[in-house]
Amino acid sequence: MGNKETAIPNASKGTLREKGKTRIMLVDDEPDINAALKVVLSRAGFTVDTFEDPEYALEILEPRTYDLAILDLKMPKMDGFELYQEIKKVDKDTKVCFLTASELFFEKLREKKFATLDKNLFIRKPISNADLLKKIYEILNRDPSAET
Amino acid sequence: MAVEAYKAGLDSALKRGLKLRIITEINESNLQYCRELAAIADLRHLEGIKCNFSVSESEFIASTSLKDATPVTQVIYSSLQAIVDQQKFIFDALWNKALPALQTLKQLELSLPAEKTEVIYGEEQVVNTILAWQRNSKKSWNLCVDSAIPSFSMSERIKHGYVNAKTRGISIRYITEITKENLKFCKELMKYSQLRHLTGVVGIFAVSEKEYMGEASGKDFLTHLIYSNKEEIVDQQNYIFENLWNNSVDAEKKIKEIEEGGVPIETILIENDESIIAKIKTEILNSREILSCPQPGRLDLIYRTFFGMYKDVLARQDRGEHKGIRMIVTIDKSIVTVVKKFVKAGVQVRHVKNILPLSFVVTDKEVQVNLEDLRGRKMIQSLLTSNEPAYVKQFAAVFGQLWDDGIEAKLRLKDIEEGIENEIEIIQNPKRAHELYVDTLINARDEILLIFPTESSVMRQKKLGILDELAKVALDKGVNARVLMPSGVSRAVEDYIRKGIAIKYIEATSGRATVLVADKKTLLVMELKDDSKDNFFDAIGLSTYSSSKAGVLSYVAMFENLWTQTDLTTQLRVHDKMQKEFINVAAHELRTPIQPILSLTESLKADVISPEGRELLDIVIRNAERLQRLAEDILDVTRIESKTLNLNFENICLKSLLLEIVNEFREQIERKGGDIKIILDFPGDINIKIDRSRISQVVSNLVTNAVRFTKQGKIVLNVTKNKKEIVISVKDTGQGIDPEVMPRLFSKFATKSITGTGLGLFISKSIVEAHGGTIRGENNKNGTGARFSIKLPLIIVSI
Repeated sequence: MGNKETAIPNASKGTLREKGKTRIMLVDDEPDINAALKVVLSRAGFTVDTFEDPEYALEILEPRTYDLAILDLKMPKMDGFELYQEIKKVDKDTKVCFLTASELFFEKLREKKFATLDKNLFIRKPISNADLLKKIYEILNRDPSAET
Repeated sequence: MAVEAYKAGLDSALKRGLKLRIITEINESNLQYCRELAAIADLRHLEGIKCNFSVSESEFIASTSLKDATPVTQVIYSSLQAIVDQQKFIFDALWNKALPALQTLKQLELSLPAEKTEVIYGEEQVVNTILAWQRNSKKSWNLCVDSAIPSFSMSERIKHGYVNAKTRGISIRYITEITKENLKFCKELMKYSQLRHLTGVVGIFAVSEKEYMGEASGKDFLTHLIYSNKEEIVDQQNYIFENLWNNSVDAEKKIKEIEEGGVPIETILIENDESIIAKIKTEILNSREILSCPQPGRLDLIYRTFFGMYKDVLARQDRGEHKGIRMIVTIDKSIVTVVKKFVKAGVQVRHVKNILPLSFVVTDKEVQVNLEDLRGRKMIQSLLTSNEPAYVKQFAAVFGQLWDDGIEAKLRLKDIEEGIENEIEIIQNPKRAHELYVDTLINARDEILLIFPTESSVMRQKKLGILDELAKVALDKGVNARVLMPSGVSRAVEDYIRKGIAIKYIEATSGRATVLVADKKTLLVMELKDDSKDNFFDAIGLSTYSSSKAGVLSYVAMFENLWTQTDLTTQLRVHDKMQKEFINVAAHELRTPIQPILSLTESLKADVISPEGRELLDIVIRNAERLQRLAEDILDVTRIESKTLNLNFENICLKSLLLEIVNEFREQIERKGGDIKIILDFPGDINIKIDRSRISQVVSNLVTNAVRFTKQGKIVLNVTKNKKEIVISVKDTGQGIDPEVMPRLFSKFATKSITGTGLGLFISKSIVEAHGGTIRGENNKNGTGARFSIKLPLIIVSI
């Protein structure tokens, strides 16, 4: 496991959803994180595509591909927030949440433009498997209109 | 007029249109007839007519004077044209000399003597005129005569007039040049008149209230004399006399001088250097009092040349023979030493602010003024001396006034020594302040220190060109320019840093004024009156310009303080920033690897079938979790130690927070299968302003500890509240606190356990104290378990 992408982007649109499996997009510049979380999430029943390079992820992103995007906040090329905005442009229905190991979390929250985001969308690393799954379920079962 | 026939003839002639001109001497006796004549003919008056003649256009008749109106028996007759013409000519000449009758008539009517101005010739006539003058006067005599006259005045005949005048009560004022020769007569004169002396009187004049007599040269005076009784002339001469009287000197003084062999009154200019010194020395010796007013530049010279003599004078003063020496001079740093010498010797010295344009010395007798003149290319010194009492008096008065306004030398010397020698100038006019500002900048040699109070002040002055001037001075003259200003305008002044001006930024300035110090010598403080104004002149208020050492240096000290402070704050800020960055990076780096370890070990558990394998994994997991907790705690400790622990205060309802924690732990206990009950004893709810996650951390820490050290039993979370604070306590029924650990309970790595990091209580304490609260732990009184409680102040929310 572990280099670049493991997703096969040429899957037909919407078919996966119809199959009932929730599709998750995971973007983190740390390959081991990607690997570890992919194991946890896929064993829980999700289809997970991981990306180390956010730019590449955007390149191949097509609308109605993912139900949830989990984004690392601190990445060298593009930070999580930027990525979040770009993803929303492509598909506004995709739910997004953030993984962060940094202290930036608090600072970003205080920034006005992100103040509207629910702080529950932020998942702090490291997190136990149980807690992670709990959070994911919460986010997925949320009312979509509560998100921006 | 009496003769009928004559009169009849006149009448008919007039009827015929005859032009009649008559000249006669009008006097009191013929006044009446003259009046009649004046009515019918052109009448004029001429004094002293001794003959009679009449001339017509063709005939001439003459006779001798009529006496007693007796008709004459003899007449001269001629019809010779030549004679007629000649007599006509003579008549015309006399006509021109004669005075219009009306005036004369009037004068006679008013009994006024005829106004005349004439020259009297002949000794006899002159003397008579003088005597008449003496008799005619009823009120006053004013005489100004040369030195030869007093003897004449006191001669037999003339003296009689004086004696007489005295008895008649006439006021006599007599001015003459009193000399040794006429001294005797002058003294005599003083019996009858007020006498005054005037040097150099030449000629004579005497004027009474009615008549004036004058003479050009005393030598020939008895030969001719100018006389006038014309009012205007008399007034004028009296006026001239008054002036002379005021300028003349009391006779007594002069007489005394002469008798005592005194010095003549004179004003002389001495140009020879040796003579000057000699004169000055003589005067010092002769004086009874010395008032000196030297220019500061000369003081040294005076000291070297005359100090010895001054000392003698002062010795005389001690003996009571001299009134002493007083000196006025403008004292500045350059003459401090020599002034001290004078003061020490006993000279009274005073200081005046403005340097006098000349040097002078006044004694009781004389005044000496030192003049310097640039003639050609050489500076010529000359001494103007005068013993003219008027001048001496005047200079003494000038000295007196300066003396009264002066400051005691001792005080002035003290000021100079303490460096308060220069005044502080208060400038009200902003334009003048600006002038001084630029001036000070331009004239700086070594160093300029400048403080701007506000960002606007920087912009205003930049607009005015001040920064450009400063740059110029820094670049061209190599002056070391340092500037302190608020950080907001750093962009605007970037260029100037390149131009050689060192700029540092400060957060807050001390005061609201622009401060400029040049060369550690000059200080200009410009108070900021209104920062909202657009331009410099409207913005500044009063300014202070000073070269007072104390003032300047205190501002220099303040500047240096701020300058180094900025270094420190910059360093601190940089350090701060570095710390924060370190913590951020450390946090990220610590947390990142832990995630895969945790996740995968947990996931791996599902893959591992064997119980041993699972046990091994459990150990790994446990340690991974511990590592995670340790990482977080170390990060917290780092934050606490570097004082970058930031608290995020918000109003939270305490109950929900505690419930969350309680529920979490209950779940945990259930999962792990423990026999511990957690109870929340918290009726009601409280709203409190705290950092939610941190207080959560603290309570969790306490509960975790409780759980860790309690095998079975219960843990009670209790909350109480009073006016000032709330108390949250966690009480357990476990093994209690080890007494050995007690003293170090809240310090780093005090407790050791398998799962604990040893940092929890230290961090909790720091968090609680950062809220302004306290934490304590003690063993329960009933013997089992411990109780940890935290007190948090109820922060009163202010707007």
